[in-house]
Amino acid sequence: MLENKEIIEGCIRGQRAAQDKLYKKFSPLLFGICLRYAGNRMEAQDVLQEVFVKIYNNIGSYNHEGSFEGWLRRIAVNTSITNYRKNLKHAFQKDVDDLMRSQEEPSSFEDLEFTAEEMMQCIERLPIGYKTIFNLYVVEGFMHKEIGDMLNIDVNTSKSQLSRAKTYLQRELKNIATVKIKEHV
Amino acid sequence: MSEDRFFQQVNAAMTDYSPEVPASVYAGMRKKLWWSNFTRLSATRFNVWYVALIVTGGLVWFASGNDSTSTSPADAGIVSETAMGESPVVQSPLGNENQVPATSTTVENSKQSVTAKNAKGDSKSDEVASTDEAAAQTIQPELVSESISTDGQVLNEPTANQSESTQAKQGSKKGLKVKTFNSSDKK
Repeated sequence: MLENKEIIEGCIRGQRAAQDKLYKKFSPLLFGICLRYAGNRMEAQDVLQEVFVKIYNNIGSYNHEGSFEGWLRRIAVNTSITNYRKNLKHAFQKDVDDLMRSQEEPSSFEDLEFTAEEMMQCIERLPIGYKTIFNLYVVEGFMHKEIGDMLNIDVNTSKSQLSRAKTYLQRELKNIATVKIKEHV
Repeated sequence: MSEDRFFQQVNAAMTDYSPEVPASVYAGMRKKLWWSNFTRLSATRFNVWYVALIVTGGLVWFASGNDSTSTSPADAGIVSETAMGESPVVQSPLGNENQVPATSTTVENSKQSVTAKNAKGDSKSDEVASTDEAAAQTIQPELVSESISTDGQVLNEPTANQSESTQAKQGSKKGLKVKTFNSSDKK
């Protein structure tokens, strides 16, 4: 906590050493957020750069009330949403194809555990529209109404997209689990 | 798997997901940060607004410098007189009054040298001297018109007076050559 305060004060003064410390400490976490929202890794890297530029330029407006990590996360999510809006016209291109394939409800696999990497692989394969809503609802904890306001979509659209994303993800995870079981045997 | 449980599992796995960041991202971020700072309005650091100010100031200075060199009173006088259609030979404030006596003395000096040469025993020296006098008289208007034409380069279209003086100059030049040839021939 004290270390964060020193870093913040250094960044406000424009000290490069403090900026580098901040980057080293939080860039992996923020890159994870960017990866979840971006269409690919290159796009995620671009968004991460924008996130840090915003953080350095606006760090003076951090009021020390909430957690600093939460403030950084919010900047990363907001920048990712802005980037998503920029690329909105390509957002739901894959949806129709995926919708046809993902109608079937996967059978349950309650006892299986998945690593973060495996989940990330599946989330990365989601169409960007599904991915955005899924992340906002499941990971960030926004309500459907808030998501609708953020993305300028109807609440029911948000709900249906989330449902399809869940089905798609479960199917993908099931495939991974099947491969794992075969490798075990 | 119930929806809640699945979502909890994903949330737990993804909340602290921290993959390794490629090294190239840092360099790109630094460039973007520099550009962002450069384009932001700030009184404390050098930025694009200072550059714009310097460039604008330079342009204004350059433009005002050109204006002051191009509008000298002499040029302005010629232009106005030409526009009025008056003869530049008479009205030009180029200091031709000074030039004319200077050139005429030159002619006189050359005339004296010629006469001195002729005085060495040439029987036709009087004839040559009179020829040179006539030449000097024809040269005077030529020199005047020449000085005007060189100084008055800003005049795009020659006036009627100018063209007349040019013709006179050409004629006098021809006449002078013929006379000089004749005089040396006589030598």
